[in-house]
Amino acid sequence: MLRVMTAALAIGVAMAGSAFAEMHEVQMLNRGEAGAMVFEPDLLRIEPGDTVKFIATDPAHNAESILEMIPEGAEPFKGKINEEIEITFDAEGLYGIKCLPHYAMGMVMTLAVGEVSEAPQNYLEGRIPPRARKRFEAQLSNL
Amino acid sequence: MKKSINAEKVVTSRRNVLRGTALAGAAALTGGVAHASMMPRPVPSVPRMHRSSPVITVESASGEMAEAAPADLSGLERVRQELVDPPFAPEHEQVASGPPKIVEIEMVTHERLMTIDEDTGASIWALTYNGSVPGPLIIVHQDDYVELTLRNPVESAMEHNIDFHASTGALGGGGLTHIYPGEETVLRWKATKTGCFTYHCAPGGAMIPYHVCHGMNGAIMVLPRDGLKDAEGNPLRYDSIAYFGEQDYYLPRDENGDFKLYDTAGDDYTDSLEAMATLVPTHQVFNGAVGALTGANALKAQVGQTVLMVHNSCNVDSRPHLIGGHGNFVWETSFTDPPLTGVETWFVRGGCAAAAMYTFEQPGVYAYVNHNLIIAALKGATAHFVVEGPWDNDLMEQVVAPRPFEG
Repeated sequence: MLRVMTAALAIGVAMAGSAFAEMHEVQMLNRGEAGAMVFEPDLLRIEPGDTVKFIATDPAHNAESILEMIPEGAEPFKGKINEEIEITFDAEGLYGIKCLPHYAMGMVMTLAVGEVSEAPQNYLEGRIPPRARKRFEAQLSNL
Repeated sequence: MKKSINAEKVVTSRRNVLRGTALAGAAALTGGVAHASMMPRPVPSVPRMHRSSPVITVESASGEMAEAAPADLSGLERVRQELVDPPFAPEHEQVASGPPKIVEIEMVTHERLMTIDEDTGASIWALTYNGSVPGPLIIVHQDDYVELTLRNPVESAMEHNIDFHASTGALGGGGLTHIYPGEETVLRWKATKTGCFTYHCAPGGAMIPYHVCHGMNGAIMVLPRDGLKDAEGNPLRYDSIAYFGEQDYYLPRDENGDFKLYDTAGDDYTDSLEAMATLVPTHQVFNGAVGALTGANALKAQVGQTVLMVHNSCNVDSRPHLIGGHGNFVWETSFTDPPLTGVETWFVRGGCAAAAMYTFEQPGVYAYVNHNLIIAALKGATAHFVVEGPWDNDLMEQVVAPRPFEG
């Protein structure tokens, strides 16, 4: 189960769900250490029940899950442009996340929830722009 | 008719020169971007891609499409139209011979650094169809089928697509042509409406004006099968076509007011959105750059020749005027409606292309301008025709040359 919540609700649920649930922050940037158009960090491991806040540090970005790159049973999510969203991730597994307008420029990140150590076999078999694929491959190699 | 009024392909070569000088200047200013000057100007030939592409999911109306009956294309001849750089027109017939055809064209979405004003070094990572601003002019006849192969080179930074205003359905084809770098797609549509129409990239949201204001637009002319006619139905023919693309650019400036330079296509995205939101272009030019069609690059013609001026303006309204001449016949929208005649200044709606026909009667220089003269003189929207032939004193004569007078 995966939920989009207001900050207050997110914290409330996180507190209620687990004493150890944490809040993580991911910045959406025009330029970062890895180059142009990045999520920072672009590889993040969290525990089930943790919440990730996507911060619109630079304008004109969004965060959304990529079709067929989320665990079975997990719900897709889609932030609006310039929207800071907080998502609580309950389903274990890998999540591929993109910025829609900058997907072709490679603005993607990998979120690992729980103990997952490698990608499902068909994880990168979809229609992925070359720059995004390259970054996904780098991210997955660091799992 | 073939080609355009300008016998020499000077624009391309001039742009080479512009690019070289301005980039050298830009590099000197910043001490960086040296690699930018190595960007090739000529449109590279893109080999056919043989990779096995995943099936592209049609995002709009997919259910209806799956259930639709196949189009009956039996008996239709296939012809290939070789597109050429502006201001030229591809080889074409003014009156269609035979029944409707399938006209195959190819366009490649090149992202390239272009100098748009050599005086200031202002440059932009232009997003283009086939490497030029505007994109190439396409010419077909009513009821022809346009079959476009659109390719996005793997080295591109961005996703591209195409919306043909002349077409019907799927956001003008935009909904069926989204391609990532390294992908190609083929779209076929029937040209049911006559006239000049704009086409442009429309990837979605703020990316739409971003791509359009980086040059990604052009025109298609859909001629009546029996050619152009006046209000009485008499045929109207031209000797050549001059193809103008009016382009508004919104270049970001740095804290000193200088135009900013960027390392790669797409780097200016956030700054560009801010500059575009002012609605005040920093440049508004014909055919990609200030002076692209003036001076040594002026269009050429002879007295007695008839030119069809096709003017595309994807984003901004324009009011073209031929200084020293007129629009003898003007089609602001459809060729099906009778043309306006004897027009002083005509109108090109933003998001539209228009055609004006004129037969030169005097030699000399004619300026083709956006007759908002601030835009013409200060923003760049000026082109020149240089016309040769005999002068007609009946039409005009300098009775007294300038001289001092007393009293």
